[in-house]
Amino acid sequence: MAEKYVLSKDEKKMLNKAFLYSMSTFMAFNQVVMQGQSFGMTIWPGINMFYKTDEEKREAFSRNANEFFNTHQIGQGLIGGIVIAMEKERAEKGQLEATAISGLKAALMGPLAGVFDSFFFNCVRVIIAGVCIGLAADGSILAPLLFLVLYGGSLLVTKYVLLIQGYRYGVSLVNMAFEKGIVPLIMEACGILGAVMIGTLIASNVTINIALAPEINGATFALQDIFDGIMPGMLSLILWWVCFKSLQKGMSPIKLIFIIMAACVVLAFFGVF
Amino acid sequence: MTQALIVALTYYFCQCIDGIVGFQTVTRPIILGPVTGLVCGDLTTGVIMGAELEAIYMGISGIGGVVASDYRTSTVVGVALTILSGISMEQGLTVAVAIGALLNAVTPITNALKAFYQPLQTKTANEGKVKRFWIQMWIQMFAFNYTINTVILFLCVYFGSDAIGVAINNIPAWILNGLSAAGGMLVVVGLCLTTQAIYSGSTPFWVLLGFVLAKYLGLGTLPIAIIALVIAYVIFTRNYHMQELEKKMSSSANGGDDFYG
Repeated sequence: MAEKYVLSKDEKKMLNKAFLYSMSTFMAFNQVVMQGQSFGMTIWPGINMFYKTDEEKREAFSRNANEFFNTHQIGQGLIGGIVIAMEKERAEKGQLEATAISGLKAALMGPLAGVFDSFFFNCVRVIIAGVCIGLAADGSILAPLLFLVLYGGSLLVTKYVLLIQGYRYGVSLVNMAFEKGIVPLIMEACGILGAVMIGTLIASNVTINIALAPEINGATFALQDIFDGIMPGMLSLILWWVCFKSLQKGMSPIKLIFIIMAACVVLAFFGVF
Repeated sequence: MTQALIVALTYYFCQCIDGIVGFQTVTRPIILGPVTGLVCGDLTTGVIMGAELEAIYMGISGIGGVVASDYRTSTVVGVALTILSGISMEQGLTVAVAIGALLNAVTPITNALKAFYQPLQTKTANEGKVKRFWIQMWIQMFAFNYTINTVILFLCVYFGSDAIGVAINNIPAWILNGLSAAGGMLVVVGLCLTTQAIYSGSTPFWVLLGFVLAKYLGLGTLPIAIIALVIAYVIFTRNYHMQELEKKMSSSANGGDDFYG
């Protein structure tokens, strides 16, 4: 393993700020980028510290803030730390491409969400709640306070520790990669990981259910069944590919959002959804 | 009037705290119950009821964004009505469940509002105005995230959920259907932006692999990530050896004679 990286005073300050911003996980949650806005703010202190010009800062911030991001809030701390470390290398050496950052982000958020969801929701919270429910039976005010401190506190502390450690290991690992000259190879590997996880996210998060079932000569054609018969979820994949192609051709994501919403409401009016 | 206002504001206030600190702790019944009790003037009942509700809803956490039952409304309405109007806890919960169902019915509207807000944020981020971006996140939380729910909660407690239910049922179904269909699809925009960022010639095939593993083989994200990691590692080591080989070849080509002894 790479040797431990020692944080400077400024870096500590920057990471503390990042932690405060990272609390906004659910503040500006939406169906388009989910926690993307919050993630952008989490790594903003890092971007602000390492990039020199305003134009570079603008590019790095918008790249991170406008992308899809969704994981458990603690995963946000860990991924945030690693991404800040990568942005640091990108800012200082300029060899690390944005592709690797986005790829790694996409690769990590799904699995980490699964791990932390089951650990904190199904294990830690159940144990702490169990203890506190017992205490609360006679109306003791201690119960809710204990729950707040133990459960809320454990979440925040874990997030903070993982943010710091993610950054430290991130920096030393990226340094090692540079010394060995394997950065382009790692970037390719990140791209593969990210792409596979995007496929998984399309399968699990993009849902299209067509209610339309026209009756022709007494036979009902449930369109959804027909599409599922050909290939389950094919509509999601098609939607992804069409949207991606239109973005490539220069369509703005802003327009795309309005088009999808308008199309859905209009189609629903005609009974498609 | 005051009753309804207290219930609605407690709900709004606790939701906002969770929005700011982001730890999904304050809206758990075991804390929300005592807070409601405190506001209504009977802390002990709040603690006891909160704990009972926590036991009921312990297993529910809304994994993957799907909330099976609205434990927040249940807690606020159940506790407040029990203390303020003296009905039994069971009666309070019955009222709460009806209100929770109404709130779930209007969720697509809230989601649509939040999605409508995203283009503004995209634009602000593209302009590099980070401070404004941050302020607008706060505005979204205070203005959009919980407002509709809070208003409906207030109206339900004030006028009774039957009257409000009739009003909500009068919203044309196609609007709600369309908005919730859009909610299921909009995430594709965010995913496409990520795709664009990592795109190379082979990307579509890897995406297809992930899709097939999740959809057809029904694997969870962790096993898929491990499979992807193995593949990425194999490709990485192969490329690494190739690179080393190239280095060796070029250095021996320079050194010429040594290679053949």
